[in-house]
Parts: sequence; C-alpha cells; structure tokens
Amino acid sequence: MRVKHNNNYKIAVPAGNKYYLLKRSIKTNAVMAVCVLMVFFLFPPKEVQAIEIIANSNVLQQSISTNQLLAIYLGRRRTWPGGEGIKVVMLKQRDSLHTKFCRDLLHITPRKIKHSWDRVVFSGTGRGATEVKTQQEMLQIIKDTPGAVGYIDRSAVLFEEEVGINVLTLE
Amino acid sequence: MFLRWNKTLALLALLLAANLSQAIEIGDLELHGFISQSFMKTNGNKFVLTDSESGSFDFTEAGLSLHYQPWSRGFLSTMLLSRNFGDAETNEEDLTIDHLLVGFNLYSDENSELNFRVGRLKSPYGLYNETRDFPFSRSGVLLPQSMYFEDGRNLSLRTEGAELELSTSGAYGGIVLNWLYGRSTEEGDCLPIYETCSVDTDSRDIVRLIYDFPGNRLKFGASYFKVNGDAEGTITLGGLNNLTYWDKHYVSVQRKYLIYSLQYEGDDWVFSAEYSAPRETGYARATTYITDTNSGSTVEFDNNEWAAFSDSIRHYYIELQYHFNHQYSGFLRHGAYYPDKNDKEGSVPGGVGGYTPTPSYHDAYIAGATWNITEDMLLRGEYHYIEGAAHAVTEVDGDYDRYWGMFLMQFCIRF
Repeated sequence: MRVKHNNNYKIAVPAGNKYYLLKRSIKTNAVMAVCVLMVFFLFPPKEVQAIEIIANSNVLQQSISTNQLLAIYLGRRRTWPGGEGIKVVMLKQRDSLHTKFCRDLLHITPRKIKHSWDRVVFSGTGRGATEVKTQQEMLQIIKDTPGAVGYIDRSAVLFEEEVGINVLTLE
Repeated sequence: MFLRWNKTLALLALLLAANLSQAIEIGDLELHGFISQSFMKTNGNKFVLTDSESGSFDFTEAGLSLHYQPWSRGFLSTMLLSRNFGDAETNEEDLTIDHLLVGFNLYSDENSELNFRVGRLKSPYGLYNETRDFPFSRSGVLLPQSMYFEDGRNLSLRTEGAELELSTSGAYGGIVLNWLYGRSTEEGDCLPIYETCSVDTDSRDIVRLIYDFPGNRLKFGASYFKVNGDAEGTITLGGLNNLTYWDKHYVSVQRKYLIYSLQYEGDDWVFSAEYSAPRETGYARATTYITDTNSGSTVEFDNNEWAAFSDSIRHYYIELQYHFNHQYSGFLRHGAYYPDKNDKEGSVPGGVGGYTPTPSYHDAYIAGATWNITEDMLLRGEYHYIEGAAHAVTEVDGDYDRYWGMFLMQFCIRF
C-alpha cells in the first residue's frame, strides 16, 4: 500500500499487494484484505485519481498556487513570471478527470472554464487553450510546447519526469 | 440576399473543410470558428427582419478567428465575421473584420499581469459585449435586447484604439480592469427621413472593472462608457413654384453609460443581472432654409436651438438559467428599456420629429431552452412576450402593436 500525500490530496494506490499477501498467514491476509477493502470503500477505484500539475521543462516555477492555477485556467494569466507565454492544455469538457480537476482543485464548473476561453478566443485577447482527448496526448503536447501547462492522473499514466516535463507542487 | 448567402456558405465550407471537433493549431497559428443558422417568426410587429412575421431564416452568423503568437509576450489576432440579419445595413455585416489587434504583455508575476492591446478592439462593457456574436457564449438565441440592442449594434460593438488590461488575483478574489481609448469603427445611423446625413462619432473612453469574489461564484462588474457624437441631416419640407423649403438638423450629444453587472454561477444555477442608467447632455439646432432653384440662392428662414439633458433612460435585465445536466438547460429572463423612466408607458412620442415608434419602450419576458447535442454543437429555442415596440423595425408610418411576440430557433456549430 502506497499512500501519496499531495497537499489537500491523500491518494491511496495499491502497489504490489498481490504478492505481499501470499506470503502472510491466513489471519494476516484476512486483516490485510479487510484493510484493502476499507481503503477501496473509502476511496473507490474510480476516484483514485492523483492529479498532478505538469508543465513544459522550460517553465521555471517549481510550485504553483491554486490562485495562480485558477487565473491561468480562466485565461486571465497568459504569461509566466519569467516572460514565457502560457499554453493551457486541458481534456475535453465532459471528460471525468477534467471535471474532477475543475471541481476539486479549482472549485469551479467546467462550463465556466469553457466560457472563459471562448471569451479569450473570440474577443482576440489571447491564445486559446488546447483541448485534447487523452492524457497521453496531453503529455506529448506539454513535452513539445514551451510554456505549456496541464494535468494528469498520476495513477493512470506513467511518464518519465526527467524528459521535458516539470511536475509542479500545488501550494 | 443571394450574394450574402454565398459569402456565408463559403465560410461554412471552410469550416466544414476544417476538423470540426476542435481548433486547428499549426505551430504558433490557431484557427477557431463557428456558424449559426436561426429561424425567426414574430406576430404583431416586425423585428429587424422585414419578413419576420411570415417566418424567416434570414439570420445567419459565421466567424473565423485567427491567432498568431510569434513572440512569447506578444501576438496578433483577428476575426472575420459574416452576419446576415435582416435588411438594415446597421444590423448585418457581409464579411467584415471583427477585430484586428496586436497584444503585448507588459508585466507578469505570480499574482498579476498587465497587458496592452492596440488596433480594432471589441469594446469591453457589460458581461457579454466582446463575445456577443459568438452564439455559444449566449444563454439564448439573442442577448437581452434591453441591454445589447440589435438595432444600431455596430456603433458600440468595436473601438479602434488602445487598451490596457490589469488582471490580479489572490485570497481577496480576482480583479480584471480594462481601460480603452479610441474611436468607433462606424459612422453611425441616420433616421431614414433624412435625405443627406452625416454622423461623426468622436473619441470614446471605456473603463470596466470585474471583481470575482473569493470562491469564484459571484462576480460583480461596473462599466463606464463615454461616447461623443455629432449628427447633421437635411430634410425637404416642401416647395412652391421655384422655391424649396428645407431643414437642416444638427445634434451634438455626449452620452455616458454606467452599467452594473452581477452574475452568480453555481453548479447548476446561473443568475445574471445588468442595469444601466445613461446620462445624456448636448444640444440640438434646427434651421429652416428657402432655396430658389432658378438662381440657386439660399436664405435662412428660421433658426431654433435647444439644450438637451436627460438622465431618465433606464435599461436592465434579470435572468435565471438552470443546467439540468451537461446536455440540457433552460432560462427565464425579464428585460426592460425605458427611454423615459417618468413615462414608462411610452404615452409621449419621442425622438426627432416624433418619428420614433410609439410606444417606444420595451418590456419583455423570455423563456428558452438549449440542447447541447455535443460540446461543439447546439440547438436552442426561445419565446419572447414583449410589450412596447422600442426594438421593432422602424417605419415612418408608425403602425405598431403594443403587445407582440417572437419565436426563435437556432442551430450552431463551433470548432
């Protein structure tokens, strides 16, 4: 059992439980099984989404505040403090991870984010956000695009942190 | 009309040739677009479209937006807009440059940002003006007509000038402040009674403050919009033998709008309200001349001048929108426009020479529903029950119904 702490997020991820359990006595196994079941009851698998904020490696920041992230995703912050233009990447409006990102991290509706970007694009005041269908696509764009920022479900996607991706700590 | 349709269809073909599900991005270049087709049927009066009473499809919008970001702190942005809406030139645009601007970021830190833009800009006032032609940003087919008029829309829609935008956020919430200085892109509208007419719109200032309360659900906005304008028109009154009597009307007006906006956006409910009380000052002069058509000589016959002041115009709307799920939503709206708050019933004919329609106010109740077929495609419908004819088609004969109705449907696609 590996428990990952990410500020407000406490995410449980099963790791190697299968082999670990086999070596234990039946009683220990039963206790462990109950524990695992309880954990899964508390954190159903669908909810096990460790959202990480990721950016292109040229973004100098190592951490990001919720306020800054919100301003970026509402299209109100378009330049990183170092002067690099921000390229926002997000999943489609009805994607479950996008919904969770909006509601749990930013505390706003996906609809509001969509409307904010419509305002940016169709008033000509900035560059639009890129919408992607999969997290793999998001990873690729963030690796390839200077100033890009996005998010992924760490429990569902494996990526090499050192290759073009900067994982930002959420303050 | 067919020429207009051809242009709109050409734009649609371009949209269809594109990948409709998402924007096109080629390196630093981005392309977004939309198209909408509406149906309108009115009973009692005509609204913008002269054939609206028999049912009309003469309402199409299409836009193609281009953004180019060659520098990390700077960009170029433009949008082509085609708007086919009725017969009056002031309501529609065959194919026009909606905005064309260069933008720079002057300062940026973790909590705030200062941007500068110059060129043809969308006037930043109220909750909707910058995106009023993008159907997906509206709750219904039309924006509240009491605040965002269709007649004469182009006069305030865009400004050629420069804009500063300060955006800042923290534990106190978020603030966006815009200040724009420039001139209107339009020369202005003239009443059809004038034979010759010129409207000169001078400089304008627009300042808007939007404050998001902590939690980002409640938003308050205040917009200040100052417009100066001069208009001069001539009208022939009559003739006798070789003598012609004609009038020259001159009006100089300064109008200051102060628009208050409020919006609460919950998970399912969205409540919006806007209120405006413009203040108008200026003067009008009417001079009557007699011209001898044989000799070509003209003499002044009569001259009258009036000082004008008004702070009695009121307009507002309130709207409640409910999202049943991510596909279906509905709204109820009430909006009103009174050219004279002391005479809401419109018993006194207003306007130059009494040609403004009577009753010249607008008090409307609207109910509508939207079906978001996909994230990028929607179908919506709405019904307006209207008292007063302030926004009906202007006709010189002045034959209007006080109570009338309007049904609209709209289909939109975006990418």
